Amino acid sequence: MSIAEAIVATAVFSFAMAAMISASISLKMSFSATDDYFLGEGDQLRVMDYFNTDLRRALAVGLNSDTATYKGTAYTNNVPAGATKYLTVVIPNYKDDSTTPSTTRFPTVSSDKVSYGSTPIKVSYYLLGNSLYRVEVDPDLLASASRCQPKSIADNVSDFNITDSVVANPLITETVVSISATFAPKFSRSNWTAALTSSTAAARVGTTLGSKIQLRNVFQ
Amino acid sequence: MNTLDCFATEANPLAAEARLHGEKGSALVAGLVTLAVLSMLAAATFQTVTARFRSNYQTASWHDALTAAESGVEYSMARLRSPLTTSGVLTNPLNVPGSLQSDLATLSPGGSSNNGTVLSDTYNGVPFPRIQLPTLTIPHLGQGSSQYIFTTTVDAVPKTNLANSGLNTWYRLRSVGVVPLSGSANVGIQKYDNLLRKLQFRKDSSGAPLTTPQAVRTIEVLAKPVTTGSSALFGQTGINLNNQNVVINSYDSRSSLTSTNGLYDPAKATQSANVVTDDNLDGSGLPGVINLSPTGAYVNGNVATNNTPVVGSTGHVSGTVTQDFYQTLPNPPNPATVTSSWSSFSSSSSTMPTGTQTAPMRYKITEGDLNLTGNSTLTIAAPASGEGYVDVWIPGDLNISGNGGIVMPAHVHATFYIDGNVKISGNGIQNTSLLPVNLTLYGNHDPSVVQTMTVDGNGQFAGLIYAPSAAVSAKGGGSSGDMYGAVVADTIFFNGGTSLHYDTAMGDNGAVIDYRVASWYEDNTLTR
Repeated sequence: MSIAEAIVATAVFSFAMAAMISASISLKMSFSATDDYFLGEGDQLRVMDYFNTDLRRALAVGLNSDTATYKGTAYTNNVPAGATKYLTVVIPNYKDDSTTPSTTRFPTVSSDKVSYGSTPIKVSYYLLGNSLYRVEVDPDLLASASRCQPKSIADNVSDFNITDSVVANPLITETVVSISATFAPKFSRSNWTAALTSSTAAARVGTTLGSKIQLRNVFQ
Repeated sequence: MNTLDCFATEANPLAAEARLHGEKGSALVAGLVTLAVLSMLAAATFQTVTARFRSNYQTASWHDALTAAESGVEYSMARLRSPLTTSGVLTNPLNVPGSLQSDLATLSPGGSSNNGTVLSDTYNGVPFPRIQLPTLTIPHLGQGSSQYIFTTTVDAVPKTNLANSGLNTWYRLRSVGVVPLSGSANVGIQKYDNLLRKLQFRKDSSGAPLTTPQAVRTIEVLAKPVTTGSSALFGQTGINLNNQNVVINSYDSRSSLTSTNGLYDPAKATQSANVVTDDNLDGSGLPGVINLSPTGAYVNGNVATNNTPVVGSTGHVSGTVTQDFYQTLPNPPNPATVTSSWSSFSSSSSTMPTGTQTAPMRYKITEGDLNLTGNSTLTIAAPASGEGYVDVWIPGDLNISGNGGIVMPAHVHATFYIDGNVKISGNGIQNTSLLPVNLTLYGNHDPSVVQTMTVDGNGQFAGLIYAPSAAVSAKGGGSSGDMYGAVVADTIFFNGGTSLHYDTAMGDNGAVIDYRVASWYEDNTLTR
């Protein structure tokens, strides 16, 4: 092999390797970004599904609070200090969990209002650190019961932004709640930073996932 | 072969051939390595994509399962409504043989029904029947599954569980929506999803083995009967409340919090008096319009139309103003088919005896018209004990004027079937108890008959007017211009200082015209 051949071969090899390395890096970044996007969207969907599920069956709703008032009684879940309170709902106590196995309660109707059991279940959502928590307190169970403990439903969610455009607090006339959630896509560091610093950043707005929920029980 | 290879071949053919063999081997190895790397990349990609696809697919199917369960509720609601709508006339569903309501009221656990499988359950130790409607499968396209499957059971809420909620039966609907999952029986990659979306891969809820994984969601709904008096004012083609002195509000004669001794008390008035209109069902094709006048009549409740803007000011409406209202109104009963045992009653007679709830006295005015003018008064006899019931069929007009009137003592429940026009003035119909649930005026059962009803004069009107084809106008009842009860008509016109105080107790009594969802619960045992 002549020197010329070696130079040409080295140049070609270097060029090919550079292309391969940069392609690999780009591919990995693309995969990571796609993965992050998928995970972010999955978190959004899950959070919306939790909200939808609880709001649909809610008897009363308290927005930006850890308290909801139902039939004149305030029901409060004491969330940790420093937590950002999103929502508290009370839902029918459909199952009697004081027995093993639990049994389904029969509804009673008084003045057109339907009840399952004497005391409803309290559900609250709050953000603490980077995790969004849901806590469900069942009066049939001890406070120390596993089911009554807060459970994270999405991690690394400091970039979540949940808005409500309709709900008045307390609910009097509204029967529909609109909520939406966004996340910061991690395609580029600049977009990521921008999306975190402003909820209206374009990079973030493009990920908005919204939902309109009819409150089926609140005005019964 | 490249140019360098050609030169080498010419100088030393054997050496060149040997080198070529070696290079060919290197190329093979390099090719295989490259292929392996690419294969691993492809495998990793497919694995990643498949896991995410499965996760999305399961999420979509989980959503579909709720749609399936909701379809089951709609299906069972349609089955409940069926006996109400078949004839087009107000019908007691309990009196329709073979209806779901009739079967649930009459069947014993273990009996048989054409509506479905009769199951047995117990409440407080007392067995009661539940009817499981046939399981339905609906094919569909789109992301997620290709089938919706739902099974619904219906039973009646025991009377012992109903307080201050009317005499009509409430029903409990439990619907289970099932959607098959295709693909392998693996959970998604997002761990928190599995806490929310509990999918069934190996066994169903009862523990029976599954051949196909599935998403299952269960909802329970209570269906409340909607009666003829469910709204304060219901005008099929229009309501005109022509000035701000018209006041519509509500009270509940059953509650001391919202009434005094069962009577309207202005200090305890509530805001549940809804004023609604429909797109008319009499075939004219005109939308129902609500006119609240430029100064704005006072409506202490909601105002609803069917896709038609409200005319006038809504500034005095306490509740919501919406355009999404729809409700089918059946025609009033035809007295000739209600019973054949009508006793003749001459309007010259002065006193009308009553019967019991199960066997009311029934009278047909022999003269056709019932004219109570001058000092003519028709008095319905007070029952000797308990409650007295009477039905009166007026084949012609009802005219009350001068000092004439109809006197209804307390504890009397009167139902009038009026085929002709109605003009109530003079002393009017004196419902002594002032309980609107005690008096019902039915209009003509034939929607093609043009009928008018006018209410004014000194007697306070307390009752329900149910005349979906009639034009009803009120110009103030009694010295205060007050009316108590509800009006259902084709058109409604209030002027002067007419006030209507709607007794919400009427919403729980009277004839059933529909069912609506009063309670909705999804049993997804979220964190259990």
